[in-house]
Amino acid sequence: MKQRHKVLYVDDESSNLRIFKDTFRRDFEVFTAIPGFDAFDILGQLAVDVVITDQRIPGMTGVDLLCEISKRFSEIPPNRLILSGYMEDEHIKEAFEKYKLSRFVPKPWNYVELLEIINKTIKT
Amino acid sequence: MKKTHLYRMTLAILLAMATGWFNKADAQLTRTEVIGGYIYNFGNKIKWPKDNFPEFNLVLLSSNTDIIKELGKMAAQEKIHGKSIKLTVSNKVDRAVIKKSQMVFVAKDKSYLYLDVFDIAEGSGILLVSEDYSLKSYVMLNIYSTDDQKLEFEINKPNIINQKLLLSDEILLMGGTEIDVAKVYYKTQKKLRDMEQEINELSKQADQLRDMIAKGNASLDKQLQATRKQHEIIQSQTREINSQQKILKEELEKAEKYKTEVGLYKKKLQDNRELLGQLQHRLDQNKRTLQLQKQEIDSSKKILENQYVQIDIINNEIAQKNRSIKDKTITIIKQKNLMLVLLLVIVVIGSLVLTLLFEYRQNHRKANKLAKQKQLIDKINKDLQANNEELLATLDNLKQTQQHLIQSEKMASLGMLSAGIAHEINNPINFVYAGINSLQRDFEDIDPVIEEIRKLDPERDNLKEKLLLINKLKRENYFDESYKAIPGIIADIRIGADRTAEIVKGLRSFTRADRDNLQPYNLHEGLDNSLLLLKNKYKNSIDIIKDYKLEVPEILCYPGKLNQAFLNVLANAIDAIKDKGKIEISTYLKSQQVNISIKDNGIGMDADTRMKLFDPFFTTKDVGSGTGLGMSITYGIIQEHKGRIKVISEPGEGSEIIIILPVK
Repeated sequence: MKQRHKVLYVDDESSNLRIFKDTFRRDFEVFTAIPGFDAFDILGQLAVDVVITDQRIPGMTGVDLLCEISKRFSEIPPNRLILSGYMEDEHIKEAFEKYKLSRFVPKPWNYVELLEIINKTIKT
Repeated sequence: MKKTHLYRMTLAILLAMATGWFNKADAQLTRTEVIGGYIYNFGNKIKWPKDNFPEFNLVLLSSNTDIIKELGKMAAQEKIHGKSIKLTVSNKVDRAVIKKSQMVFVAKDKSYLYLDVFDIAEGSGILLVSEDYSLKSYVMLNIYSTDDQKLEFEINKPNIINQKLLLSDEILLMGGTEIDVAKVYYKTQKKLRDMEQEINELSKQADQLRDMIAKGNASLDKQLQATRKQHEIIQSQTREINSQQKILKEELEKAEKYKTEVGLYKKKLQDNRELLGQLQHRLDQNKRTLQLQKQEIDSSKKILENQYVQIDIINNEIAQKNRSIKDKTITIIKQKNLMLVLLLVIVVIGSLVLTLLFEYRQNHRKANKLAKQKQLIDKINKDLQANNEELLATLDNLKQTQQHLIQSEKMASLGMLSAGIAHEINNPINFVYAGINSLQRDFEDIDPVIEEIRKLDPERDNLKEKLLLINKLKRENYFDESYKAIPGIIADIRIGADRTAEIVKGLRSFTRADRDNLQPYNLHEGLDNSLLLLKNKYKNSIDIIKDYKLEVPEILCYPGKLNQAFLNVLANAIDAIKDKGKIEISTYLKSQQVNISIKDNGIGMDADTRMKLFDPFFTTKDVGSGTGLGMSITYGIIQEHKGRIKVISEPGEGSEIIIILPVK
């Protein structure tokens, strides 16, 4: 069995987390976390290949979380970080320019498209 | 002629004559004449090897006019070796002239030039004749005076031979002494030795002198050192003297100080003495006054004794008077009591009269005032009626404007909310969308297994084999995982669908506002719908605490409009919270009225803001962020429902807005 890539998905809706895990469990080793410390714990313990986070999460934005991740885990390159959300607003655009985050995935996401995006991100 | 004869005299004769010349006055021959004779004879008795010169060149070095005259005469009259004589007189050495000449005579007065002439003439056939010349080794022919005043000549033969001149023996025969060369040499040597000796002595003397100087220097050094030492001693002594002088000076200063101090003490002493004198003087005075006082006291004592006697007399008198006064007092008390009773009666009557008078006056005044007020009220009533009519007209106008404003504000707030609403719908839609996808894959995973089970024929198939196959398929397709996941996914899809439906329902209640008829409405539903639309604005930072009382009934209202009012108040409460906070929403019945309280713990309002809260176009938000109509429209809506709005707020303590609506 070949080495499967590790993907961390962060969202405040447990339904979203469940569905994501179920959808992609055949393709990747999926870890899900609610925002904040859970995500940082997982990142601290495992070598995660890709991080995907929702933009609207309690207490902060997805951009804030990704910035914090780049600060705390300098070994994870920003091009391995993906944002998901309803629409790509000014705040997100600015973050992409500043932090060189990899991609934005609009919600509701489509399995085939998202799979392709994750695979491409892992290859870069 | 006589003279000519003289030159032609032989040398012998000449010499003989010359030897006795100075003594023989009769011979009348001068020294210069003799010299001329000698010169002439020398010229003729000596032979020049080269006899081819055209004339005989004779050079005379002298300033002596006698000799110049003499030899001039001779040159003019005589000849030497048959040739005429050419005389050249000079007082300095001219090399060319000497080189050309046959004979040079260096007279006594130019003897110092002889050696120069000798150097030029040496070895070149020129005969040199000198006069009284002392350096014999350089002499050729020298004419000299003897001690006894005779004029003789001497010859230094080697020098003449050296000049390649031929000497005739005749010269020697004629007298003339030959200079002994050896003797001259010895003489010279001796002179040299003498000189050396002299030099030696001189150097010895010099050495001695040097020694002496050295000794002198040494002693000088010693003296210098001694002097230095003395100097040092003097210096140290000087220093000592200086320090002693200093000490002396200090002592002197001290002495001076003591002197002045002593002077001061003396002065003080003097002062003290004077003071003492004064004190004594005063003491004397005091003694005197004391004496005087003593006398006074004595006289006073006498007076006192007298007074004592008088007092005793007076005391007796007073005792008598006291007794008579006691009797009088008793009668006075009796009269006082009677007077008091009389006074009381008078006061009671007076006050009764006064109150009656006051009452009457006041009644009169009140009646006047009431009449005036009545007039004023009538006037005001008239004014009010007029105003009322005016106001009614304005109100109609305002109502129309308000309708427009309410509509536009509603659209504006709905527009602002649309983004949040979209996100709210979007998230549950994602459950449905992605969930179905996931469900489909789960189904694909379990499908082969189910298919195999479906095809199973218990009669024909090898059940054990089939079971193994099914298990293999299960493992390959993650059957268990998928099978277990399915119920969860279905539940998530349901959540998503429900939530979407709910939001749409909530939105519908806002669109219902367009219908203008009153209808029964659950206010809690309205509040929840408003919260749903605002969720996007508060969900990350604000806790919503709801306290809905079941006793609150449905009320007849315009639900859309009321929802808009709730939305406005809630939106303001959310905006008042800058970071994190809470909003308490409570409903309750109070005296047949529904109270809806919305209380935040945000920044609160000052008096100014509270006053202008319902003014149209008043806003505390940035330009472009708020219309400034929200609260004024809310006020209008609540008024339309015959309700009131109560505002409780202080800066820094949050705000509470209470909407009070009648049940009916």
